[in-house]
Amino acid sequence: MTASTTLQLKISRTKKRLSNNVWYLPLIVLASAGLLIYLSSTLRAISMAGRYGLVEAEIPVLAVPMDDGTFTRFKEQSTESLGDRTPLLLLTREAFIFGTLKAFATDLSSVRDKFYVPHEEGAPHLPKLSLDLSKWMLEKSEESEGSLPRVLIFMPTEDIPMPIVIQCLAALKKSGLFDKIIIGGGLV
Amino acid sequence: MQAINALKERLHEPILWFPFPALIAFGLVIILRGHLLTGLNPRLGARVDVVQYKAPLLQDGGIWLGVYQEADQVVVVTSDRQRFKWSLTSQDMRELKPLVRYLESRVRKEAYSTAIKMESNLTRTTAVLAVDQKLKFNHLRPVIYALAEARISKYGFETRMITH
Repeated sequence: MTASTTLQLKISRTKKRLSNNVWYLPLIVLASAGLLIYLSSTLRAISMAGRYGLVEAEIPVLAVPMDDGTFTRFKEQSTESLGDRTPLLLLTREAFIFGTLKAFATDLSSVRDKFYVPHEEGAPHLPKLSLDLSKWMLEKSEESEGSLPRVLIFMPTEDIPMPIVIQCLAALKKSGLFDKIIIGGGLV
Repeated sequence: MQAINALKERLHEPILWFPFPALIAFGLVIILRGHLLTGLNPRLGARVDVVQYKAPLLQDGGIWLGVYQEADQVVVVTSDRQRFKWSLTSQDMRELKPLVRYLESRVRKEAYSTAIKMESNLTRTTAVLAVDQKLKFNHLRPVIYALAEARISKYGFETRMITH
């Protein structure tokens, strides 16, 4: 063998030896792990539910009549107002209790002017509540003072879980008995 | 002959780098898409598990607030990634002041927009509360008070709708 052939053989063997070194494998593993972590977070992003619903409630506002000096002479009319006869619904851990605002404001312990709908096996009995509410509102409308306003003050007690509050609110809106529902903060 | 042999020797070596440009491009697309989705969807990054209930469809454009519990604090996150916190047992209304200021600024912006465009959109002044299922009503009550302080009269609770 000539010297150049021997040298070339050595070069070739050195190249082969170097190409057998798998130093890039840890890099591949790390890059794959990083890519998988990021893929899982982006898959979470693209798999989120696309449709959301809204269960509405309102906060009453105080009417402050203002004079409109412009040509249109705009005057805002209130659609409903709160008064003594506004229905109030209290949600406790045991039952629903409903009556007029006056019944809860004047004599809280009186049972003559309030109605009690116990929960069924620990869960709110919404169909019975809707039925009792509609019967009560019908009876009230036959009284001389006229029908009750179509506004409800819904007052859950503080230990009620929010999913229960939201589902009760949605059921009350769906019952069609009330146009507006106000969530009350509590009895003072 | 030697050159040919050398060339053959070189070409026989495996080229292991060829999948990497494709992987890099694929990774960049996924990362870019992930960042865009993070920016558009306020729900990503907020640990809020809302109740599943079929309700009227939510219109986009409201003042979105995510409310959840973190350790012993109630955390409120907004659609522009601002966070407000207060203690679970706190009764101090002063802790709500940052949230009230934020809500007032949102309402003010909407009022300017309404005055300039001479048209109003009820959806944009509706507060959408995405409430975590673990919370109780007394945890959410301060948020409703904050809405009232900021003169927001319409609000609603977000629900998740699963189509079958």
